[in-house]
Amino acid sequence: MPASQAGRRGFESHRPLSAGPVAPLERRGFCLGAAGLPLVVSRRIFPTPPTVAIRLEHAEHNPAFLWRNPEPKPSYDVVIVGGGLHGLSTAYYLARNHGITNVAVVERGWLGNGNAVRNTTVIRSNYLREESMPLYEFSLQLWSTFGQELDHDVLFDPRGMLTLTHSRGEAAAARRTVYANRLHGIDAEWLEPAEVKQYCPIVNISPDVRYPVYGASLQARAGIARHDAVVFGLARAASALGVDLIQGCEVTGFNIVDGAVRGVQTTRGRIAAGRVGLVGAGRTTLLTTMAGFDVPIQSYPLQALVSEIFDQVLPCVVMSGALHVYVSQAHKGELVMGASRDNYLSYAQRGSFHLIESQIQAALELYPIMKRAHVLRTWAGIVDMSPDASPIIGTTPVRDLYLNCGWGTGGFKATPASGWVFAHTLATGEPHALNAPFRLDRFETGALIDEHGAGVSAH
Amino acid sequence: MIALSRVPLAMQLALRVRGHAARVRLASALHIPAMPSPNRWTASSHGDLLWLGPEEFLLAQPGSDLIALPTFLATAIGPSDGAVVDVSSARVALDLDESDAREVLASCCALDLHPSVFAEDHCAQTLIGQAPVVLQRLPGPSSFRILVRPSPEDYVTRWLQDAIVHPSWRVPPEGVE
Amino acid sequence: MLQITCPWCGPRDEPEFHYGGEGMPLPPDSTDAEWAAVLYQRPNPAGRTNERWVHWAGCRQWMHVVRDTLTHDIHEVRPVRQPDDFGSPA
Repeated sequence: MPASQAGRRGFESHRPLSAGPVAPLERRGFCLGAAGLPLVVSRRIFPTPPTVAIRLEHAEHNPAFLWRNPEPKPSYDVVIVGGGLHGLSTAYYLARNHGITNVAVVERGWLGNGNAVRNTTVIRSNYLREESMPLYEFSLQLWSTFGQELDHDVLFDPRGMLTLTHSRGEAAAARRTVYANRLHGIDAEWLEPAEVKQYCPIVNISPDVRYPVYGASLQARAGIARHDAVVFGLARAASALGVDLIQGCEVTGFNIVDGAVRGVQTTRGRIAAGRVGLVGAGRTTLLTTMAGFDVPIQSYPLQALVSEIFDQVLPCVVMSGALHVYVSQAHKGELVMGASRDNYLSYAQRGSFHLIESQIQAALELYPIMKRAHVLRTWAGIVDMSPDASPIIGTTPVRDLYLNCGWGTGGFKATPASGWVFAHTLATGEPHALNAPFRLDRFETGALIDEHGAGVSAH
Repeated sequence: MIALSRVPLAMQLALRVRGHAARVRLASALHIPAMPSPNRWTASSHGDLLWLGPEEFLLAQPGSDLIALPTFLATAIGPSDGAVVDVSSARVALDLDESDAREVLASCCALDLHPSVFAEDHCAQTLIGQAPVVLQRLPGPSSFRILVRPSPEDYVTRWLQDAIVHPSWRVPPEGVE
Repeated sequence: MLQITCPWCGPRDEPEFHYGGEGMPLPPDSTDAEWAAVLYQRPNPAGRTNERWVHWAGCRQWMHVVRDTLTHDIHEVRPVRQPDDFGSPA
């Protein structure tokens, strides 16, 4: 899709925006389930979004193009390498939160080309580790006002998410996550199989299947959003705030002087930069190799698929870790399914069919209603897997060069918070409190943040 | 009519043998000119001998009076050039006999089983559905033996029976819906 | 789906194989950085890569595979152990 079409506004708002400004967690009155545990919320680490919204005065509502398509200038305060969702979000928050608008986002392809539109759009914050939970929870809170923030409906829909368990061990682990979440002020409930059936009637809870349902954890505030709209909204807002979004511009090298980066070499010429942020996802190691240091990232295909359009049958997101499948239903009606990742390194944006076959087998066992659905389309994105299934956000061995990568199979949900904390890191030279634990040298110190159990995609 | 039948095997032996000299001794003990090549099998004096790997063979013996056989073969191999392990309960044998057997297998096995590719002396370790099997082409126009571990036997049998009952490979005659 | 030509069994489908990734030698010394590299740092090339796969559902042999991560083309497969006198591969 050429940039001229990518920029066209592709949809109208179908529904009102879902929520007002974020209320502090204490005032929300979560349902905490039968246990009724008192909710202790740590506020020390959740930042409060600024109350003064920046007006997007230059953004028209139905323009022919949602963002400018400028020539690169010779020099910027900050150059962000990678125009995916996290790169766009970083640029947006650099402008919005820090007033830094002399910013370029350089993208080798075009906006909305890579994982930004190849994900399954699940948004949740029910991670296990105390380093992860605040980051993803902050992101979830930003999502609830993201559409208003960007003045562009991203169809964020907190429809709830079930994480099914299929053994006693898995059920115990899921309960542990539920309790960990509650201790950190994140809503989480445990549902017995009958309650699962009540919450999501199409789930097969029969004991006579290969992997019977032993119960599920529920995060009621989890949900989905429309990924295309997030690309459009972020690009439009960043562009309106003065950020140059430069497409078709591949980085071919870095100008490094006395251990500090001074600019990037690109297929469209040299661009000087005060600071450079790498947000290259699956192509991260190609960039860091050029910059002269290693990061423990490997790139794998992760596949997803959609069915044709149906009436709404699936009221929530459902994940199954044991069966390696997660399903939701898009607003338009397609069943959207994700799978386990492929097992070999690849940059080819395609995977192997037998994984789709096993994913469909799992889905049919869980949802017999889907047996007449057809697969309409499959695709793969290239995910940047880190050894502990947690991102790497922060400084690098090269001064003024910063890194945001390793989101692996679960980056979409983190789009707002990732941009927020990485913008802070780029603007101040210091990590935000939320991303301080996600440093590159944790693989030397041993302070890993193991989230292998948080996802179903063979994280 | 396609026949799928379970065949009793009195004994199965896993033979591990290293080095040329030991293989010659073993072949001699089994009254065959040489141990089979990769993905081939041969009939020996003590049953079918299937290649499983560069140093690994399976002797599937339908006969009786076998008490002395493991010791006899171990002696032929020698004390430091391999091993003989009784794996009689490791696999069950299913025989598929009929002209459509190749099409039945095509529903669940990715190998090209056409006689020009998979001839009468061929065998292969492969997958039926998701179950690992040893597949052995038997003499005759279209006969196969499937050696499968006991726990996925039911799975494999159901795959094959389903393909027999619902022959999706058959093109319906002209004019028939 | 990849199709890998096993040196012993001929062309077989990917589900019969397991991926072994690339090997990594242990460093002579053991500073934290070196150990981090041994434990976590793996090649991630865009282009030709030297990998190991095991034909678990076939002959159960390991093999070296030269594969292109940009195209999924497989350029070379050779056994970890040479066939020598075991008979000619398929």
